[in-house]
Amino acid sequence: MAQILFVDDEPYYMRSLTDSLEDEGYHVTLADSVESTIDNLRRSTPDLIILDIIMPQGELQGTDNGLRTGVKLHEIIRDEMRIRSPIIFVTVVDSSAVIAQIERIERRHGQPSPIILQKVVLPSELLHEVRQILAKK
Amino acid sequence: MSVPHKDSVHPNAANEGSQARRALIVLQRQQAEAKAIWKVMARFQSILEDTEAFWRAMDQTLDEICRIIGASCAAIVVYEDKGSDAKPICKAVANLDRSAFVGKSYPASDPVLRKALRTGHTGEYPGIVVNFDEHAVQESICYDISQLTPAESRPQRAGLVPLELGNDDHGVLLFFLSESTDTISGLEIEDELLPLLQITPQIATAYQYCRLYEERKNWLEMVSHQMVAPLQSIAGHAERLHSHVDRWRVDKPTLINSTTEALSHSALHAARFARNFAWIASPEAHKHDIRLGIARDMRQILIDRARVFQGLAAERGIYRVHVEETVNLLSGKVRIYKKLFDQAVENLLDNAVKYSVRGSEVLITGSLSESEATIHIVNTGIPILESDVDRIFERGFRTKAAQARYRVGTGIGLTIARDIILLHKGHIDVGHSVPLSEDAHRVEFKICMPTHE
Repeated sequence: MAQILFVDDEPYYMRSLTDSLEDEGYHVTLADSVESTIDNLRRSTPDLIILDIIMPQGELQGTDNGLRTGVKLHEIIRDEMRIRSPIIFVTVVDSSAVIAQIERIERRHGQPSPIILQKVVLPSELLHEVRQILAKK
Repeated sequence: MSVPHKDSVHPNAANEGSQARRALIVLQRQQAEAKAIWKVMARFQSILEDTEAFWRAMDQTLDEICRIIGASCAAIVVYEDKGSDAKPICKAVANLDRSAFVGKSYPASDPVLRKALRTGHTGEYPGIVVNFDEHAVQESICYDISQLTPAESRPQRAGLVPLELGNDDHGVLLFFLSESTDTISGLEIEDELLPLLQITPQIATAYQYCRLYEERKNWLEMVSHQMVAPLQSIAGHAERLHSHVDRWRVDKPTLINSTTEALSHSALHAARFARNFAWIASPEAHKHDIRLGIARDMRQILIDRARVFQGLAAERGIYRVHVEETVNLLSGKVRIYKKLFDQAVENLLDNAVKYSVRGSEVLITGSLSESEATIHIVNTGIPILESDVDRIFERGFRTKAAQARYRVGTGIGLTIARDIILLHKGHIDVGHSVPLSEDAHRVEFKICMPTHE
C-alpha cells in the first residue's frame, strides 16, 4: 500500500481529496504544519508527498507571512533531508517566479518537471496524477 | 603698527586658509555630486508609477549613484527587528559585484543575493557586522575595512548612511569603495556621506511605495488562498457525492449526510469570507442600513452559528463548540440586525477555533446586567499578550504567535466583528489571558450589547 504524506494547513477543506485517496487504497498521513511535516518525514519516507505552498511559517520564521512556506519546505525536503520522493504541489499560488524556483530545486536534484495543480483540484484530477506518478515508481 | 608674532599667528593663518580652501573644494565637489544624484533620483521617482519596472529601477539607480560617488557597489538594507536580519545581508552585500536593494520586500529568490548569502564568510567584515548586530545605525559612519579585505578587488572602505523609512522602519544605505578616495571627484569617503544624506527622504518614499505594493500583492494572494479553500471543499465533495451516491445509499448512508453537511458548511464559510472582503471594500455601506429586530431566541441563533464550525473544529482536534443554556438569559433582551450579527459571531468563532489547542473546547455563555447583555466566547489556546490587546482589532494585525504557529490569514475578521457590534451600539472586549498550561491560555472575547427596553 503506497504511503502518501498530504501537507496542508487546512485539512478540513482538503478532506474530499484525502478521502478519495484513501478510498483508492492509499495510506494517507496528514501534516498541517512545518513541524509535523518534518517530524513525519524523519519517521518515514513516503512514496509521494502532496504539498501546499501557503502555510504558517512555524519554525521557518521569515517575512512573507507564510506565502512561500511550501517552497522553503520543498528546499528542506530536497536539500537538507535528501528525500527523493516525488512531490505534487496543490496550491492557489500561480506566480511564475515561484514555479521557476520549484523547477530549479527539482532540476538540481535530477527530478522530472514538477506537477503543480492549481486549486480548485477535483479528486479525480488528483487521483489521475497520483496513479501516474506511483505507476512510474 | 604692531606686527603679529610669526610663530603664533602666521602658521595658524596659513592652516586656516588651507583648511578653508579645502573645505570650499569639498563643498563644491559635494554639491556637484549631490546635483548628479538628485538628477538620478528625480528620474527614478517617475518610474514609481510603473511597478513592473520598480525593482530593476531601484538596482539601476543604486548602480548609477555608485558611479557618481566612485563606489564599487551599494545597497539599501532594511532592518528586521533592529538589525537581526541585517547581519547576513551585510555580509552578502559586501560580496556582491553589483548593487542591490535589500529589504523586507526583496525577492529572496534573487540568484545573486542567494549565491552571496551561501558563500558569505562569517566574520569577514566584523566591523560592519558588530555595528548592525547591536543597534541600528544612528549617524553616518565610515569604516576602514582594508584589514578585513585582503583581496585587491575587494572594497577597502565602507560607508553607512542611516535611513528613516517611515512607519518605524529603519535601514541604512551601505556602500563600498575600493580606494579611500573617489578617483572621479577626488572626494574622500567621509565627504561622500553628505550628498547621500540629502537623498534619504526620496529613498524613504520609494521604500514606502514598494512596501505598500508588496503588501497589496501579498494580501490579495492571501485573500485568494482563503477564498479558494472552501471552494476546494465544495467542488471535491460535490464530485465525490456525484460519483458515489448510488453506492453510498446502499453501503454507507451516513457518508451522504456528512458530505452534504460539509458541502453546506463550506458554502457558508465561503459566503462569510466573501462578505468580509466586501465589508473591507466598503466598510461604510451598512452604516445607515441597520434593520434591528429583537433576538427572540438567542441560544438558537448561536447554536446555528456554532454548528457551522463543528466540522472545522473536529478536524483540528477541538472537542466541541458548545453553547450553554445561560445564553437563554439574553433572549428577547437585545436587538440585532441578524445578517450582520451572524457575521460578527462567525468571525469570533472562526478566531476561537483557529487558535485553540487540540482536545480543548470553545464555550459560548451568556450573562445579563441591567443595561448590558454579554455573550462570552471562551477558548483555550495561544494567549493574547497585554501589549497586543489594544491592537488585536486593528485591520491586518495578527500576533506573532498566531502568524507563526497557527493559520495563515488576512487579519480582518476581528476588525469586522468589532465594527458590526459597534453598529449595534455595543462593543467587544478582550479578557485577560489566563495561563492554564505552558502552551494553553484561557482566552475570552465578550460581545457586550445594550439591553432592549
